[in-house]
Order: sequence, then structure tokens, then C-alpha cells
Amino acid sequence: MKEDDAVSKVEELMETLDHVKRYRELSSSLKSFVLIAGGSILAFILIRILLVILTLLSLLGGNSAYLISFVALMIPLAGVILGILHVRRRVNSVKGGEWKQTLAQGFPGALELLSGIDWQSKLDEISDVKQISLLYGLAKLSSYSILVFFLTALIAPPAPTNFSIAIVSLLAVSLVISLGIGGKEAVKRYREAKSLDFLLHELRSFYNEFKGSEFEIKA
Amino acid sequence: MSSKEANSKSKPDLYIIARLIKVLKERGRVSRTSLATSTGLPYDRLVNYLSWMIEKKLVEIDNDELVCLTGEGSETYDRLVDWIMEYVGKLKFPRLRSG
Repeated sequence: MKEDDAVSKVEELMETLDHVKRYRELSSSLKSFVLIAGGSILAFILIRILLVILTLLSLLGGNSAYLISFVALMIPLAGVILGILHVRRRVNSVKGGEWKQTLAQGFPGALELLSGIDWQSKLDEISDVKQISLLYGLAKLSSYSILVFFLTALIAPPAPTNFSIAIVSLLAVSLVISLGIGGKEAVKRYREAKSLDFLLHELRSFYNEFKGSEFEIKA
Repeated sequence: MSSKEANSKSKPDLYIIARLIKVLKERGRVSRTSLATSTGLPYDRLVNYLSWMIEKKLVEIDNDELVCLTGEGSETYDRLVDWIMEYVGKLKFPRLRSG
């Protein structure tokens, strides 16, 4: 039945727009993620520098230095986890489905929802957030790489001879491992960015056609 | 739609027209008060809409002062569904999973 088809299409549209609201929240909490994860990584680097400057490591001896470095590594690890949880909490707190009551009226409700949408601002919103998922995926991947790099450097410190080659190898290993951990998600985020781009194209075409049309009631 | 707008100078809200027609389709002949309750429209606003719809021959008032849907009204509703489907029917939605 056409009426039901129209209602289910509008339901799909409203659910998709609810997702866009979550991307908008992801966009604003991405800054917090960078701040929390980046800050904790920076704190770890500062602690390491401080330890070296104070030559505390050599004074403390092998095992204690290793232990302090390992404990200090918990700071960026906690920072990244905290950042991810923070983003998840903010995104999950976005409410949706306020339109369900209106849509329960059937076709007239669907029509009311369609008439009430501020299309231009929705299109602007999608345009603003379409790359955000990908950026978040890359930010997570970068944090994993840095964490793995620190951990690997702690477990197998680069030899002073051929130091640059050792560092490059360490970086490559870190990248491979972090791709193993977060690569699948990065691909998923890339697909999401493509999907949002597709959505923007679809809704823009719809809006351009819809705003130019007028339903005529014959007298 | 204000009382001035009811004098068919400006466009009425299509979703209200659709809501009124839908109730009349489902329930047949309905009193104005009952129609106002069913559609959630304030009575004076309903009267304005009904005047406009009578003018457009979408509804009529029978001898018992009950509101009835005309064939034109029923056809208009179907055309309205077709019109909306012409646009939303083409829409394809990607699968999104934010978070």
C-alpha cells in the first residue's frame, strides 16, 4: 500500500537524520578525545624526559626504571581508553525518535514531519560532519600507534648503534600492530564517510526537487 | 491558518488537510466537535479548514450537520500520497552506525 510505503520511507529518513545528530555530537566530542588522549600521551613523554633529565633511571637501576616506565605507560593507555569512553558516552546520550509519536498518525504525520524539516540546515549539518567519522577513526588509529610504539620501545629498546634504522623499524612495527588492532574500524569509518557523502547527495537532490514542486488541490 | 487565511488567501497546511481526510475516510460522517477531538485541532481552526475544504469540494456537510468526505476529497488524498511517494520513493538511505 502506497500510504504505508510513504510512512516507512519517512521513518527511514527520520532514523537516518537521528544518526546525523549523533555524528554532530561525535564532531564536538572529537576535540575532547584529542585533548584527553593527546594530553595523556604528552604527559607520558614529559615524564620520560623528566626521568632522563634527572638521570633517575640510571640511579634507580634496571628493574625499577623499567617498572616506573611501565607504570607511566598506563597514563596514555588510560587517557586513550578514557577518551574513547567519553566519546561513546556523549554519542550514546544523543536522544532520537522524538518524531515517532507524530509518525504514529500515519501518512498525515509523515507529511507533517517532512514539512517541519529545515532542509537547508540539515544539509549543512551533514556536509559539516561527513568526514568526522573518518577523522575520529584516524585519531584512534594514531593513538594506538603511539601506544604500541611506546610499549614496543619499552619491551625492546632500540639499540644505540643504527639508532635511526631501529626507530624506523619500531615505527613500522607499531603501525602494523595498530593496523591489526584498529584497521578494521578505520575501514568502517571510511565507509561511513562515503555513506554520509552519498546521503548528502541523495537529500540534496530530494530537497531541490521537493522545494520546487507544489501540490495542487483542484477547486 | 488564521481566520483571515481561511478566506483561502494563503495555503493551508497539507498535513492538516490530510489528517482531516484520513479521519473522515476511517470514520465516515463525523460531527465537527468529534473531528476537532480526533485531529487535535482547536475548534475555530477546524472550522476555518472546513470552510476552505468545502470551498474546494473536498468535504460537505450533510442534512444532519455532519461532515462527510466527497469523492474529490478521497481522490485528493490519494493524489497527495502519490505526490509524496514520487519524491520520497526515490530516496535511498545508506546504512549508518555512528558512535
